[in-house]
Amino acid sequence: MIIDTYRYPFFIFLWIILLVVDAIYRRAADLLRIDEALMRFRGDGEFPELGTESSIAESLQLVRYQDGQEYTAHHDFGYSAIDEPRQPNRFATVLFYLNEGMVGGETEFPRWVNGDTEEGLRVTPEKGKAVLFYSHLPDGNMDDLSEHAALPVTQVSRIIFFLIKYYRDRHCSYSTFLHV
Amino acid sequence: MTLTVLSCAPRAYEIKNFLSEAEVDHILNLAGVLNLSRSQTGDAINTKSESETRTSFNTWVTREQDHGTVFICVFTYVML
Repeated sequence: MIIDTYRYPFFIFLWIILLVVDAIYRRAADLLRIDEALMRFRGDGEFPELGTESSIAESLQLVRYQDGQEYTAHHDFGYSAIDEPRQPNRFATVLFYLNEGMVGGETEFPRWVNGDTEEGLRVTPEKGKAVLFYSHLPDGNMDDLSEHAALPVTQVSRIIFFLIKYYRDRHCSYSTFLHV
Repeated sequence: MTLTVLSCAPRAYEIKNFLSEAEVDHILNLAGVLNLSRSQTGDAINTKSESETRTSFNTWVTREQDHGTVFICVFTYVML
């Protein structure tokens, strides 16, 4: 079923989008087997053990690649300032592909370890498909192998996707997260 | 949802049809009305900046809309 949202006033359109975005967060929480409330901004004392009222998930990022645009190989983890007591760090990333059929535009994990090939692991965009990867190892160290790239899109206009990045910090137990 | 393992090192998984057709179409409609700007790179220490390693365009969609946005939408709706 395809709904033409342009037929509705913008207020209704925004309301539907908010429902869709909320559904995405809830489904992603199910995927990671964590409480979806951790992905909301919270009130005073709701999760005092986390020491923050911010959500552990970033806002959704809507990204468009076209005309040979790319994102060369990079890691999603980073380093907080040394005087930041909580040391938040990107822990896992979920990508959602919104279209398909372009030439190029794959997500590549060039450091993929396997016994079959020396090529990188390339994930081809498919409409509605999600990719989950972890930037940290179960022991808490950063995973250097999680380096990934968005390969250049050479033909067929564009690739668009949504992505969410989840944070962990020194107060957040690893057992909260899914380990497969 | 069916989780398919793509790789164990790094830990990467795919889930086909995570979003429904209708959901994707709503998001693409949203993408059509939003202004996307040049993506930036950076981290918590270095200031964010445009770079040649990331040439895409992007914008942010929050789960909770702030009061200002909702007010503008309600105001627009009432005026229509």
